[in-house]
Amino acid sequence: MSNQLINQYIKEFEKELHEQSLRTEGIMEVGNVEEVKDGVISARGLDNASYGELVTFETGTQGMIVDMTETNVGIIVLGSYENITAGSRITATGKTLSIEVGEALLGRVVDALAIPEDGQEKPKAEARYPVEKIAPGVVKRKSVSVPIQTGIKAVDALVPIGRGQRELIIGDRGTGKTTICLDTIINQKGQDVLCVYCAIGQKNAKIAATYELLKAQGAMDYTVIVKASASDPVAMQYLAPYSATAIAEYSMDQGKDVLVVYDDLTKHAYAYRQVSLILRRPAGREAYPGDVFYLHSRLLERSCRLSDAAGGGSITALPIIETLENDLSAYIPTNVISITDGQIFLETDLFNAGMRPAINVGMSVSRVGGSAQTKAMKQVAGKLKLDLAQYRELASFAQFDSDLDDETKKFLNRGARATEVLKQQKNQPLDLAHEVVILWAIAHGYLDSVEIPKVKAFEYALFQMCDVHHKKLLERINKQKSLDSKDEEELKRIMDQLVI
Amino acid sequence: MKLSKQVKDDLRSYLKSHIDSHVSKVQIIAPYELSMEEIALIKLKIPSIAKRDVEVVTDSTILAGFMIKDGSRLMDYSLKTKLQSLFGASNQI
Repeated sequence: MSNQLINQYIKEFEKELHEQSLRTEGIMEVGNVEEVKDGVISARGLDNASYGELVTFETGTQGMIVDMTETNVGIIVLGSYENITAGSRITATGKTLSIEVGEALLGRVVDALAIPEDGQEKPKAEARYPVEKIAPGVVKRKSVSVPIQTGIKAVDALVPIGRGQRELIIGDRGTGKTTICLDTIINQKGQDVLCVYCAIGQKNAKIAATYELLKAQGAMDYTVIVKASASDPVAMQYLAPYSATAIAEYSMDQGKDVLVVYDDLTKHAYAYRQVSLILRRPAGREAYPGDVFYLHSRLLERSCRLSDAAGGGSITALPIIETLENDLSAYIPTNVISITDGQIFLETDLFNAGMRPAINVGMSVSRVGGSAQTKAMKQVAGKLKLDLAQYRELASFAQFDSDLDDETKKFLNRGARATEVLKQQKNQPLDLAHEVVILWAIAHGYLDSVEIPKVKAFEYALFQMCDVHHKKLLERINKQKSLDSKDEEELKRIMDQLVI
Repeated sequence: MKLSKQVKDDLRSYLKSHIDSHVSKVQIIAPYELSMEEIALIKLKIPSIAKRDVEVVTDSTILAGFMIKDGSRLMDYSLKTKLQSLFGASNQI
């Protein structure tokens, strides 16, 4: 009994002592560098520093505390670690890692600490947002109901994405994952959506080409590029997606809709694995540390749609994962598939066969689905999905062409043309009206009599006719986002003119 | 049952004396050997180290001023650090 009281008193005494030792003005928390290992510093001292705190080295470079043991502190260097000598002093700043955010970042290329890398002046900061943040709780969220138009027919019709959704883009190298994301960014012109493109572990040349593409298409006016290329320190590659999310969160808190592309999370997992192995954390499956799931789940959970009471903003996330040999059951792909609200699966075989975008419609899914489609798209896409599903079922019978009954031939016919319609050139996203028009045509059988090699020419002719003679119809569809009977009659007239 | 005030006070003084006897010395790092008057003056100006054991370490690289190190906590009043921070600040201009 008295033991309990004494223990309680000792606890109170310890608390008192601890409060006295909290940092006061003029007193710095310091430590000394003990080991420098490839971007990770092991230090002694820093007894009163906290996890995730920013520290400064004698060279002026900053670091972040990621590991604390009884005797040592592990710090990842946020910059060049070449000049850090053993024994040099480390000072804790008392602040958790945060970056300067604001709308002035739009049009800029910044690094993982939101410091511009394009050689122009520093953008004016509107706020400081923490890089690591707990995602909004359940009460603050609203379900996804507003679509985000990617401009890609196959995606908008069959795997629609909504504002606030996380849709994974997964496939082997060279299957067009980045292209889908860049086309989506390009298509957000005039849609009131800000974009953040986070390049993790990519080649500098590829990032430069991306910047040039977005600039040429006028997309840089509403886009920020957060860059942590393959030559940047591994700590920056680890932090880049979190910084990109912090930049997006600032705009979301202002009530805006933001699109974030993480290209790609596989390299992010590699960077985290490197840091963990150097810190001697126990290696698990495929040498990844035990918390590699949490690495991505805490990142992607921050993308959500806020309720009207919380501002009504949203962050739509398009994470990219690169698979090896189409293996969807590998460690990181399965992790991220279970976190996201659906995936778009790109296949090399389809890509090589000329089906671009190489989306495997059967295995791609959007768990938000129809709630994120406009009425117009729902009207035309439902039939398309059915036609394609039936085509897939019967595709193996296509070689027996002469022995088939008429019904089967009809399905094969329709499906082949639907597949042809879904092909699209890269960097040429379509607006809603154009998508609806061509999909309406295929759904109502107007392409059944067109030969497959001529389908693209038909589509082109259809768009030309609408752009020149039926501008008002297109404007109406884009504005009202639905097709009424008058619109359908006008479409019938257009089709009759084309299909001679 | 509650602990009486007497017991609490006795416990407090015992714990404090125990902690004080185990705590490490405070280091005063100065560019030259400090005299007793100078050490007393420092202790007067900085009351938190007044009752502590003090160890003087000479390090001419700090140029001027002094530093007080208590475990991992540091009060840096050296000229070297002031110059380094000036150097860092001037790079931003």
